[in-house]
Amino acid sequence: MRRAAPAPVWMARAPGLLVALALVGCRDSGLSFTDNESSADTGGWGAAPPADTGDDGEAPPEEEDDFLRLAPAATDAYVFIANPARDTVTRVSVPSLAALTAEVGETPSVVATATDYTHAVTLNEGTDDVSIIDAPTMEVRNVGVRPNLNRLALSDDGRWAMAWYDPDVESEDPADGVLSFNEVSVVNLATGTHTPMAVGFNPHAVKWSVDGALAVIVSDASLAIVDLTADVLEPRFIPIEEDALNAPVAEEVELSPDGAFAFVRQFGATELVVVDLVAGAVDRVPIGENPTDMDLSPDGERVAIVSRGAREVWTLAARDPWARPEITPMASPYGSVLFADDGTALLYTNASLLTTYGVWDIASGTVTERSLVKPVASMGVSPTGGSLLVFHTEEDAEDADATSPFFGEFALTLVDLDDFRTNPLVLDAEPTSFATSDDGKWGFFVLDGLKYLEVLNFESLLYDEVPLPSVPVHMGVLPAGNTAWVSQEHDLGRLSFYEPASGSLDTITGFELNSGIEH
Amino acid sequence: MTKSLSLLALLALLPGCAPWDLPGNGYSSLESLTWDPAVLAAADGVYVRLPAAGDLVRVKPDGSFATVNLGGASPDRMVLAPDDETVLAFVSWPVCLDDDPKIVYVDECRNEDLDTDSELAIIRDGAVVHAVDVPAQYNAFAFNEAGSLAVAYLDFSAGVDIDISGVLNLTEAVFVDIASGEAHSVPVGFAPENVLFSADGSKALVLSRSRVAVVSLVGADAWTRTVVYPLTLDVDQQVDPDNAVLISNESGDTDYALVSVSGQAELYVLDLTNESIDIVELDGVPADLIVDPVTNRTLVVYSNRATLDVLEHELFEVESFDLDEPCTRIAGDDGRFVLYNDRGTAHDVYVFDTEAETLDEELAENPVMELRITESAAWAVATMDTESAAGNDVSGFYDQYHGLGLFDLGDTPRDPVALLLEGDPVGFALTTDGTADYALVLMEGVDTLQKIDIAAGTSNEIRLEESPVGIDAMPDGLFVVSHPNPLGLVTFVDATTESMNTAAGFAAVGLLERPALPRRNVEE
Amino acid sequence: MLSLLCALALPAAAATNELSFEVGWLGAPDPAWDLFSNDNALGSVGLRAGFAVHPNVAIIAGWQHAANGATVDVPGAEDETYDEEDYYGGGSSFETALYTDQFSVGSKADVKVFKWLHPYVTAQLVGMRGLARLDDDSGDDENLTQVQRAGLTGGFLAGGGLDFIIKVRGKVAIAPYVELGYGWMAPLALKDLGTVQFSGFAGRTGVGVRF
Repeated sequence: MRRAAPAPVWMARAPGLLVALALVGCRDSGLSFTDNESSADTGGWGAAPPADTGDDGEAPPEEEDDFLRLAPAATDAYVFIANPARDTVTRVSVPSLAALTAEVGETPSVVATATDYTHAVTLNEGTDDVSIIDAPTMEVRNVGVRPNLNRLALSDDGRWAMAWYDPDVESEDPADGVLSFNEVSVVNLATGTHTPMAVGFNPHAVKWSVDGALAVIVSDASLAIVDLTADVLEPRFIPIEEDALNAPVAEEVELSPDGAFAFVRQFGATELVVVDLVAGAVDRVPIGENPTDMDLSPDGERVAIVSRGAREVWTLAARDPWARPEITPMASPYGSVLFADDGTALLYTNASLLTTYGVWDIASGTVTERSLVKPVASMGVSPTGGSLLVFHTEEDAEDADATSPFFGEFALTLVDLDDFRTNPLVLDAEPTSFATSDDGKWGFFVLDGLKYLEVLNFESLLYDEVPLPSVPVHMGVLPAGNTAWVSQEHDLGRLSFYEPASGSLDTITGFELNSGIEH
Repeated sequence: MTKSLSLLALLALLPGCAPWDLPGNGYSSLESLTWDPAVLAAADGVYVRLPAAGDLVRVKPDGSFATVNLGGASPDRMVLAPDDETVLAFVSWPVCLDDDPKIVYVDECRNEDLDTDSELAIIRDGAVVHAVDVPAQYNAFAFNEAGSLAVAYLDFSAGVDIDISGVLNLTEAVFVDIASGEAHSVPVGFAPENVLFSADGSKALVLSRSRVAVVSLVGADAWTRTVVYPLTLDVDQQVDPDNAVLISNESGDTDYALVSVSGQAELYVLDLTNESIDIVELDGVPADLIVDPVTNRTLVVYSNRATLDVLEHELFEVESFDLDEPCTRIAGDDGRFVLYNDRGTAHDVYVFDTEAETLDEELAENPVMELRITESAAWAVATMDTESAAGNDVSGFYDQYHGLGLFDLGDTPRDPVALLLEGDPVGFALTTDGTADYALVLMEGVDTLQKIDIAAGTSNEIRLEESPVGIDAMPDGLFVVSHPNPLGLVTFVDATTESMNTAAGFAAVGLLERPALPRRNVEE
Repeated sequence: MLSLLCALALPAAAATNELSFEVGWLGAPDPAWDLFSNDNALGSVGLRAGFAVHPNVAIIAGWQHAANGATVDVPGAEDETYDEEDYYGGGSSFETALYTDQFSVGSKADVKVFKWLHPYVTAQLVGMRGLARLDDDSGDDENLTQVQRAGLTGGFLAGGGLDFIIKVRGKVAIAPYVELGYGWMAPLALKDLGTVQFSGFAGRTGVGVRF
């Protein structure tokens, strides 16, 4: 998986957003991949950059916008909203819409929720600590971390939080004085124990092993392995490049399901870096020309790498990466891969204005091309793998029909992956946020500046439009359910919940006032 | 000699001259009213302020009257507690700062030495039972349902002149235990405008500028402010609460407060249990709101929007009912409500059944001034204003006169009946004899009390001694009618038997008293 | 007593019996009096009789009756606005009356300075009965708001005067006189209406028959 893209377009377009950032904890509800990075990134989805060949004449890198990844997240019963201006976190309960506010440290810039729904955690840049909030009781514990950190991630088992400094993320409380680019803080959420450590230069991601025993901190030139089962946490440093300061960007890192290997796809490299996490050895395997994307199959057994330059998909065995790879040719220069299920994957590109995508039958090794009304900006597959959602660019292909209703418009296409029925839709504005329900039946998205929640029924391929009281900012879906939540512009905070089965929209407004309640 | 005898005889006749031919050679004037016609009709009689004399008298239905001993103080403002037996009166008296024992009367004290002191007198059965130290500037009261607790506060909307002597704290409300006379000052916020009491009487909500304060009334933290709900987070923004209702659950606990604010199309929902705030967006600025205990919903009307909104009390979702004309007031309870407009020229009157969710539209012949519902809830009676006559037909004729509208609130209602009134209605009350409902109407310049059988639409005149200015209901079914007589005249009317008894002359009490300096402790 | 002492000290005899008609006045500084009159004094008319018990001393008794009243304007219940029909716009008025009868008894001691001029001093005890009436419609004898209250009080009167003696025939003379002094009455309690007190400068003037 690629590193998260720079600040999405909607953030740049919305200077008048409410004080509450509605940065809630991430929960990969509705994801189509097994990338369990609990990132506090808003996950805002922006348009793919135009096809830019760059100086070397090659197509620009693929931008995998994870719009199906829940941007802010919630637990199954609560949505947490941080307010950096008031140093509070508000918890809104569902379905009662009861709001409770707790004081946390200064300037909470990130809030995330543990996947076991027991805690919410904020990273407080003003006081350089994390606040561990008990979800049911709203009791708060503050644990100091290293100064000037601005990224937060929680482990899938909800036991650990890790914070680090990302220069690509704008800090709420910019550093002054000394600033380190190598430090991370690891916090045990149960005990509140803080373990600071120095890892590789510029860590930009953390991967958690499936069994929760390992944390792999990804830097461009190295991996730092942390045994989470040890009494004392220490990083085991594994360099993957000699020149730490000029190492190629480690765009994606995946772990094998048994935690034995880490696979690192580097920008511009024709080899995949394979790191033996047990032995600490680093090896490289060829993966074709100009690899642009890597994904694990849903069962974790396969590592698929799309080599756009070679027009090939290289498939490696996750448990034995040195085994002979399966190479599947592609008729078109696709650069991204998206697994629908263990037997089917989708190939597409958002680096050029292609109006086709490929359906890869993994067993047979064949790729069937299908056409689209417009070029692709992003793709996403419902959690059940039965439906495909394609967000299109506003820009059209060179040979596009100017009389087409989609010409010059934003659009999306719903695709049934069983029979490949489609329903392309013209959009009045750019989509800015998207999420799906866990059962794969519903998809939700909002458009830039429009007061609507768009509801997609993946079974019928039909849509509904739900009016909202004000312009949406963030949205998501509650885990283990179908209820979508949408935070909206309002001076005092506004959050709406939509239940697609009943069509009911419930809104709570003014929850920020709770921070002013005096006792 | 004869002339002398004649002169003597003439002089001897002087004492026997016709007694009611008053000399009337001089002229004088009073600076104040002899009596305030805004009387308080309590269970033990009618309490009347005598501003010119500075006294308070209690007039009984048998016509007798007596002064209430206020210790030399004069009543400024009065209010009747919900028990209909207790009168709370702000009283004040002059104080001379010069200790000279020779100064006995007010006019003997120099103006620059004159000051004023005040207190709140709790009066029961014609006597002061407690005197409470409450700032005299406080001009508004609220009572709990039991009538055992009163809250005094300063209501700026009343437009009174505030005399600041020394330091005045405008952010406090004073809670007074009426039985014991104990007073407790609680800081509640700037310019409190309304006070509500929870159903169980355990707390009070004080609505003031940009905040709502919850004051505990029982337990260890009694008389303390326990929670303050902000209505804005911006200190530069002024949010003034306008109207509020409390919502209780089946157990009797007060769960929510709904607060409307001036000029904003929003309702603040204060969760009193979980201590949180939600804002419900409306499509207009509410003019009135009321809680229906039957369906546990709140009704909202708007002055500039022809809609009735009904809010349920779970998620406060709004269900709208269209009207033909905007309504500004809601009257009624127990599932049946009357909507009407008392601010403009609208004629529509609506009857809304909250269970059946039926909205019946009725037409008032003229714009409604005031509307009340009978105790039996079978009728709504409204006084109607005149309006510019349009046309020479019946409607044009009606427009020229005030009217009384009779609206049937039954399940199969008859058409509204519009009665024409001879004069401007200066007061009306509703009463019943157990079998029939009646409206008692007083009109300006007309010295009769009209007793109208609402069901029959017929009226019976009860002749009064003089033309009336107002009517008040007394707790035991009597009505007291005030007359604009400078020497004081009220009539007690038993609407059932149509018998009357008059009390007169009580406004003369104390007129000749030279104002003295009361409560003066001077060291000899 | 004072006049008696003065008389005993004086050599020339002057006291005679008398019957006089007189007009009197008594100071009324009480603000309550303003409701009955615009004057600062209680004016009255009455009779005086005297019986000589000594060449210079006579016992005198008198009766003074006064009737004063006024129309009292009361402001309206609301702010006054000018009304063409009613000058006081929304206000009302009522009439007042105070009837007083003073009964005095005392002594008078005089001396004959000239045949025609007899200065004297006098001191009297005074009892007063007052009757106050308030009525908003005095033309109606049966209106309900007719308030009447009565009271009694007492005081004294002391002063000096001049008798001017005009012989008519024999001992009978016509005697105009003027008398000035000080009077004081205890407050006249009119029940729940309040009190009115008279005190201050007092005077009598009249004409009588001496015999």
